[in-house]
Amino acid sequence: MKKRNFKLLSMLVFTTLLATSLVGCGSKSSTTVSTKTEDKPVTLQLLAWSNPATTTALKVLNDNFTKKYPNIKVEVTSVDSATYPNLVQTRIAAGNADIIAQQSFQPNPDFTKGLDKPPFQKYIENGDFLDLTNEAFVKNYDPNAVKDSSTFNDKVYALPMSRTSYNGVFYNKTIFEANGLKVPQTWDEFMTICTTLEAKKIPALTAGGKDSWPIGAVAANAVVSTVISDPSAYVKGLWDGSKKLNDAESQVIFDRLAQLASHYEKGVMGVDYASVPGRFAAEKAAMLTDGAWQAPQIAKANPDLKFGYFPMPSTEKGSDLAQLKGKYDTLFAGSGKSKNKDAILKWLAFTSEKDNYTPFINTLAMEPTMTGVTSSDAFLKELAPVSKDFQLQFELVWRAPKAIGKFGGFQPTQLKVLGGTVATAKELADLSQKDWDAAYRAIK
Amino acid sequence: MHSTNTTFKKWAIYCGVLPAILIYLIMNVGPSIASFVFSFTDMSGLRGASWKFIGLDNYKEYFFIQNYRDYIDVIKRTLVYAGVTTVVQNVIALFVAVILNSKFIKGRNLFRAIIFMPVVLGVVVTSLSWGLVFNTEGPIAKILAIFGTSSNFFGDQKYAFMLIIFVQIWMYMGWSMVIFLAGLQSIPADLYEAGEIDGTTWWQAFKNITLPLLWPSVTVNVLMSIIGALSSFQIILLTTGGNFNTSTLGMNIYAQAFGIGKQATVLGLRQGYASAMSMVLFVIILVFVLIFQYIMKKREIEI
Repeated sequence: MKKRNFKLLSMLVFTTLLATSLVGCGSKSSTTVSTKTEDKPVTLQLLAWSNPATTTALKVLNDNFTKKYPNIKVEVTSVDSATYPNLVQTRIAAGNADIIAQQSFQPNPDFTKGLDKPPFQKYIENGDFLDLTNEAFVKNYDPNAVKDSSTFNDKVYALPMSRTSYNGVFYNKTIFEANGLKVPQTWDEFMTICTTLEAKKIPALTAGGKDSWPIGAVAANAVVSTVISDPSAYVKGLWDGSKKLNDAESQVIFDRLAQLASHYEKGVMGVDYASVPGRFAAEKAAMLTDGAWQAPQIAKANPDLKFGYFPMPSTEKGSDLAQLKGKYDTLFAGSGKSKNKDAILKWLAFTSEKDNYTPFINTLAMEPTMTGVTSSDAFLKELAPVSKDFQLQFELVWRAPKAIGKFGGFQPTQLKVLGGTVATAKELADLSQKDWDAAYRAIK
Repeated sequence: MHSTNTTFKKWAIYCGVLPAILIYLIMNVGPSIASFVFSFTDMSGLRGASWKFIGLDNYKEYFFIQNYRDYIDVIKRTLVYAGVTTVVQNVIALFVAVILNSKFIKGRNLFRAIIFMPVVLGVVVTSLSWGLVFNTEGPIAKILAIFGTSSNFFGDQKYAFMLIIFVQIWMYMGWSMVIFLAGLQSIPADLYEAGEIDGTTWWQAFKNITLPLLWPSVTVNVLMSIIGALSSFQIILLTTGGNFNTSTLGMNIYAQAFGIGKQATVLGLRQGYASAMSMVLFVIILVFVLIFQYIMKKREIEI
């Protein structure tokens, strides 16, 4: 009897202890209420999407930062760009994010209707991004860069680190020279180069088709930008009905999309983005449609490769449309609810010092956004003639009605030649407008 | 003294199961009810953000602000995914279980462990590994090249979905097989002996002894497969991200709740809307479960 009672009692105590300890297991963050600031060891959580050059640049920056502030360590978490929004959301909700890499803030234009707020706006309105408007280090940056990329409602919520272009094409200089080819100045020249190469059994173009966005977004928007000189006016026209995705102007875009799609190497849709630098460096194709950010990765894959980058050319030679266009790429926002605000501001200030920013941007091999800093990267120097006036790429202004169908917009991957179901450019344009109309009707 | 002991025993039993019940309520029932409530709000998922009740707006958006062609495709794919994985997975699992259960296999435990290993590997390892196998630079591509063809595998709009179904079946077949094995081993051997004496063939024995007595295992497996397949999205997310005609309802719920792509092909941060979508998925699953439970219960036999 006694033994049994004892057994039952001890079982009861054990299960209660187990239950309470599991409850305690839940929350990881300790609630230290200490007010001593300077010497408390702090680990800052930095979130960024994976880009090999960024990882290297951050490591150097963070090592130097910890040398200056020995009690502050920076831990970087990177995931691929598809999973990045999930990482940001869950880490911010868990209170486990301090410095958060962001893309340029592009609010929805006024002429759109029924669109959800972009995530950055939700974060700002919820106080998850630190207000940096009155911080001294913000003045180190080019005021246009800050205004165009990191501001919302006249307040600054991030630091723009870099600018990059992505309406261009990498080309293998050796292959071009060997075949007597020159950088194309018009679209027709570009297509002639492709057919010339293919006649000699050299694949003309490659890209990271499997990830969908390298062709569906980067290459497609590059083609759009060879036709549309005023993206804002064009998108506004679509919304108010004065322009259509299958009118004459747009049809030029679709025709060029179809032509470009036909020159990609066979099996391009199976190439995953991570293997693209290696493939181009191994000369699997003569040209690569990608963003200029890929340059350091290509150079690393084959340091002896001679390559260049040209903006996708337009109808006429020397057209303004054939300038490099891009976006402000890596912005750093601070967490507005973190307990480590002091450390965050220290890190942002440190990064904004010229001596620390300059090696960072040179490793990143993107255009600098800090006043008085010019890149020492040879590749970027070569691009100077075609990046005279920085223009925002079409993609940043493009907004489609909510829940638009899969043909809406400019979707070259729906063409038969890239594994889709649509035979001609005209059909694709018509389907695109049809999907736009259907989505627009639904929100009226 | 006897009566206090039984009361104490009863209380002890209740207290013993209390932690498990609490965990179930907190981790399963609670969030499900919360999901139902949030489906009527515009909650974004940001901590501390204000949200308000918006009635049926989320449901209206789901049913009316859609491209119906793509919408039907998603539902079709969700059902095909569930149907094909359930049937094929369980047929293969039953076949393998019957073979492993027979007297002629030595080292049954070893085979069982090997076949069960994919389940233990986890979704991330499995998806990434198959992503490397089904790769333009991978081994399957080389085999296809011998036959003079090639494939874009997970980048192919026609075949990516089939490959994903294959990976799902590969991963969970071991689970179904283990349940079938357990069921088979509970069938008394003397029934088969009696059958042998009466001169039944292997197929007759299977149809008249094995299947009817195994029916509870079949029910469990089919139901678990259907529920799992209808709500699964992880393999799709990790192999194609929903591109190339592979997105299902589960995948879209994830996309709306958390977003996909750094330039945000789907913006995400819409937990309220995602909750409404998951209520729709819940109803679909419930309908299937009720139908199948009714069909299967009718045919169960107890020994």
